[in-house]
Amino acid sequence: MAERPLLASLLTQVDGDEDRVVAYADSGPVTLPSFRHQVQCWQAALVATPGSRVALYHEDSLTFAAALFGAWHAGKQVLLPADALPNSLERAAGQVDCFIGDLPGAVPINFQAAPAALRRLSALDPKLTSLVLFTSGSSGEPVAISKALPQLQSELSALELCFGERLSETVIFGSVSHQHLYGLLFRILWPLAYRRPFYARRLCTPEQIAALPGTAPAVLVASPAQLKRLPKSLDWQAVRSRMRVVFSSGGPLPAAANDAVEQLWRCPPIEIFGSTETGGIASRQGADNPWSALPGVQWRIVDELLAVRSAHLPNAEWQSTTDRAEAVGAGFQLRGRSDRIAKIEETRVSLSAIEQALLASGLVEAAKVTVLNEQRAMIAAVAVPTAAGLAALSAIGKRLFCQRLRATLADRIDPIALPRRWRFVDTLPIDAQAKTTEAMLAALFKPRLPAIHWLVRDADSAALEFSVCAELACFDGHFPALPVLPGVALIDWTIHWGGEVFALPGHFVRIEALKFQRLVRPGAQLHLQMSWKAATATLGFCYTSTLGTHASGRLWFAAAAQ
Amino acid sequence: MQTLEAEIKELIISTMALEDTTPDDIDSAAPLFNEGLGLDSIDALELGLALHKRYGLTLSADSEATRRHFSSVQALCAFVAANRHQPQSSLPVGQLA
Repeated sequence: MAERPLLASLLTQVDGDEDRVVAYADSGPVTLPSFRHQVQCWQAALVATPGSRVALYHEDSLTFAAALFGAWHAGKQVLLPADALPNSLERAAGQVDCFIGDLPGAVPINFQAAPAALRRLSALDPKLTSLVLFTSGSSGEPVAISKALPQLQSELSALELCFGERLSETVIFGSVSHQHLYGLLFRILWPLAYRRPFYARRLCTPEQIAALPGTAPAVLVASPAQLKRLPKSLDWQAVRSRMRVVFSSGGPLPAAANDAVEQLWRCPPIEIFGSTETGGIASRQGADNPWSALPGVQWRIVDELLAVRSAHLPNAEWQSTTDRAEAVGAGFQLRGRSDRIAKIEETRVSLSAIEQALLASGLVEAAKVTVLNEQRAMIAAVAVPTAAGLAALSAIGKRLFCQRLRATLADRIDPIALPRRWRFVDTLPIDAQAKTTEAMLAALFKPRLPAIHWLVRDADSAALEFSVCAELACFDGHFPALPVLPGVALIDWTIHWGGEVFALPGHFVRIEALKFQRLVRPGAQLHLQMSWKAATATLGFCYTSTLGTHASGRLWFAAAAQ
Repeated sequence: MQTLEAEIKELIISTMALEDTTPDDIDSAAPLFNEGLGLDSIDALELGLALHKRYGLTLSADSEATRRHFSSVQALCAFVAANRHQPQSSLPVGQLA
């Protein structure tokens, strides 16, 4: 594929379309000459600073783009911290000579500089122009990935070849950050190189997407985290009539989200698969379909792992990935990762790093973490407390103890990866080979109680409703072919919920008038009515649904001393 | 009937599937995100979705305003009380298909 050096000569080539709009900022459209002037201002300030490396962070994509090109034209290598969190900036500080953009201590830029005082820009030298991105490695330490201009240009050529036609006359909107490769390429570099205006502000919420600015046909550069959570009730009319292409990358888009986007926006999303290390690898339309390679990308499977070779890589060698894959037709399907990296809502998370950080707290002596996929994916931890941990746990209780553990992890673990579920055990569960399997960890997190909704909470009567989800631990083995809720679970729940709302004394001693009239199956919507008689210390209960009464009875309590 | 504040706390607990947390554990004035309850950006999307479903209310496209509404249970209550439409369901939001 012949590479046209579009990025290198972006600001130097005179092409007869000088007044075209490069981007839409909050202040209005920004034309090429105005963008070039901004780049020159950045260049002028940065030529005057010592050193060859700068770290750039800015929320606004137009300012970011001007700073990036300004730094490149000043001969600087540009590091892009993934975020502006203190930890990321501290790490970047050790590797660069100065900060630029929206960062503490950033180099000041004079945007009022007279054009005559600024240098004429000359084309970038592709060999000397590069940037550095960060991604988390399996040890948890971020890994720096360098990208030279020809690698970036090669990605853009492949994207243009594959999707360019569908993007004609569009404005590019994005809901992902340009501090990562996907956002950088799709939201800024691709539009700049192929002369499509981009919208400078990131659309972070569904409401901002629904209120799509302007009237032009639109492209949205998005991620599953947002596409999975689109409220059906928003007014999507503008989006429906203007959306031409929706890109999704960062993790697999579930089929339900794929369908929802297609239905709400009349625009089936295009998924992109790739990584910071490899760049773009493949695309697909329709969840569950096999992935097909992007133009110029070769792939093969070696020992179950996907390996790629392309001009997006730093050399012509095959590069192995840590993604398990299987050839399907002319493409491939992904079968999970081979290392201890998990993706939590598109953020790469090192499971080993969380475990090490837990051990370093001094509160636990052994720990394993796993990923639970519920309403959202989350990290769950199983840990054996140390003597100090056990003392703290019994002194302050589980909730506050977990909060303390989260707080000790907070300075080195991304907030999205802080464990949200905790089980404290005497020893980690192991199988016959002395291994702790994922299944054994997951089993510890099956819910014991359904999520409830209180309807009444008075001094002597209470009512609540809930649905019985199939994942409840009490369905395990009861029965494999025909799951039925064990009646004793209803009694256990009554004591638990009764204790939340009434001052139950001591302990439960006996049951009267117990009746199980109807089976409770997964998916049932149950209503529980409870009445408390303090004089006799009895708690009456009745579980009903639209089918009728399922169970009822009276529980007797006695003070602990008796 | 329980208060709106208790209802919102319960909505937060069921939407976030918070473990070992009862409405009484949530300080109405404490920040919901980062410190405090420790909710993150994905939780913000989930909570926005839950408010849509439960109260039929739409958040503003202005992210600063949304940040203010989500700053604490108290702020959220004030926002819901001023903008709610008919409740669409009395079931816990997490349980809806």
